Amino acid sequence: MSRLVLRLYVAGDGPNSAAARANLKRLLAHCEPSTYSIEIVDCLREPIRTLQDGVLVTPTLIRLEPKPGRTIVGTLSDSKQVVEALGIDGPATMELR
Amino acid sequence: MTTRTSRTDRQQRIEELIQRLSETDEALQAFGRGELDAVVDPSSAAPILLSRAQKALSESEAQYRDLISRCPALVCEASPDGRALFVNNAVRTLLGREPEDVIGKSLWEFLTPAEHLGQARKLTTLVRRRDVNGFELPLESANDGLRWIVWTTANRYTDDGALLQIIAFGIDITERRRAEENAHALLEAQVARARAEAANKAKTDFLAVMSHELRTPLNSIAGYSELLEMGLRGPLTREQREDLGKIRRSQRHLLGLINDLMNFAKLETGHVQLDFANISVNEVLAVLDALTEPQVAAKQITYEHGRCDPSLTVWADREKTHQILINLVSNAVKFTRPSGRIIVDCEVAERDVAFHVADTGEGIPENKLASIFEPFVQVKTGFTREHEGVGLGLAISRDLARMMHGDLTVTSAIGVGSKFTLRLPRQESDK
Repeated sequence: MSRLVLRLYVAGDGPNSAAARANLKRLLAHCEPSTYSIEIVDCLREPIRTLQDGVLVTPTLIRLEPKPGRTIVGTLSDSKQVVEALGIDGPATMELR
Repeated sequence: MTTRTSRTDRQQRIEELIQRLSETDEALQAFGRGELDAVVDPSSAAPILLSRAQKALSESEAQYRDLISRCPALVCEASPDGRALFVNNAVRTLLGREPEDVIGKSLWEFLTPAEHLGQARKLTTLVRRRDVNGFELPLESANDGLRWIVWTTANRYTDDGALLQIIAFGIDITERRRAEENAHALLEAQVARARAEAANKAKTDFLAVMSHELRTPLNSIAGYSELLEMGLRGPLTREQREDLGKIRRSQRHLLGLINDLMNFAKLETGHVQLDFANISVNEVLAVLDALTEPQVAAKQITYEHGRCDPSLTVWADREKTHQILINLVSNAVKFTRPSGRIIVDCEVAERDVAFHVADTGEGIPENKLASIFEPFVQVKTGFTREHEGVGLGLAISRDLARMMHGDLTVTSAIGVGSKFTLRLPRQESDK
């Protein structure tokens, strides 16, 4: 299975952005760290880059690899949806049990 | 080929469109759930914070700002060179200054009094190298003088360890320092007093022992002179008899001085027994007359006295009252030139009786009036002492008067004379 490459767009320490960060961290907690990488982009600091990446709203999570890309908007509180979108299972199984 | 390609392109465009639409839909749904924080405006590339998120952000910011402003300690943010960027409300309560008076100035050097400037510079230098913990440096308050403040910092550093901002916290310890200083001063005062008391006691004990030791040989001088005078060692010539008379007079005089010293020492050590009784004022004055007449006659001084209501009494020790009055009259005689006058009379008040002893002597300067009651003081001190005595009479007399719940005071005018007043209570004191 190819490496998981994620990018999370946030707005500073906004409450929804903070929630998205926390949810993502929780969902990836049981994944081997070498199997994925996450970049966090703050739209307050880098609005032009955010725009160039085609992201209009935050928080937004983009799966860059593996292809095809996937986009999830919001706080990532719907674990099932996120797990399906990211193609991971470990923590999700525990989460859904 | 072309057709296939264009069909593929079209299919791709349709897929992209569907993708965008679903993303937009997802964004709308997330917005509906209130899960968005910001929208980036495509025309200006400016992020727009969404109201709810913004509200939450500004609420949490306001909460922190309130927290900092309520903090009773000074909270300061400063640039690496020490210039204040932010100070909290404590700058008002602690230093009586407005934040805008301080912002932009070197916090420590601006408000530090000149004598502590060295310390202030040391603190600024130290803080640039590493955080400080518990550095004491005072600042000048606008209305309350110096405030001692203990400083601790929690600086912001960049990832590679360079100083980004100084974050300093200052706690006012002025009251604590003051209390410590007071406690220290109190302790020192107690030690000093204990030392002074010990020294005074040593002096008094020495006086008591010495005067006793001095009296013993004087008694044998008196005894042997008397033996010679009585002719028990053989007949005496007229000259020898006169010489013996001089020896006896000097011996008596010296004995008087030593007795004064002993009395004073006894008073100081508290070894004086008082025998209180109702004593007649007239009787006291009569005894005084008898005792002072020879002295007065010898110096050709006029001696006048008044008489009081025969039933008038005072509550005092008879012997000590005599001692005080004799001392006052002897002093008056001593300091009054021949042909002067001494007047003794009494005055009745509601609670006490005043005995006045007035003379026409040289008088006592204003600035010496208080000190004449101190032990070993005579108005004129120098190599030539016109008047004999050790300067204890008035000290002893006033001590005795006070022990009998009375007092001894003086009024005087240079060239006119002095008037000493002994007051004694008429009734037994309730105290």
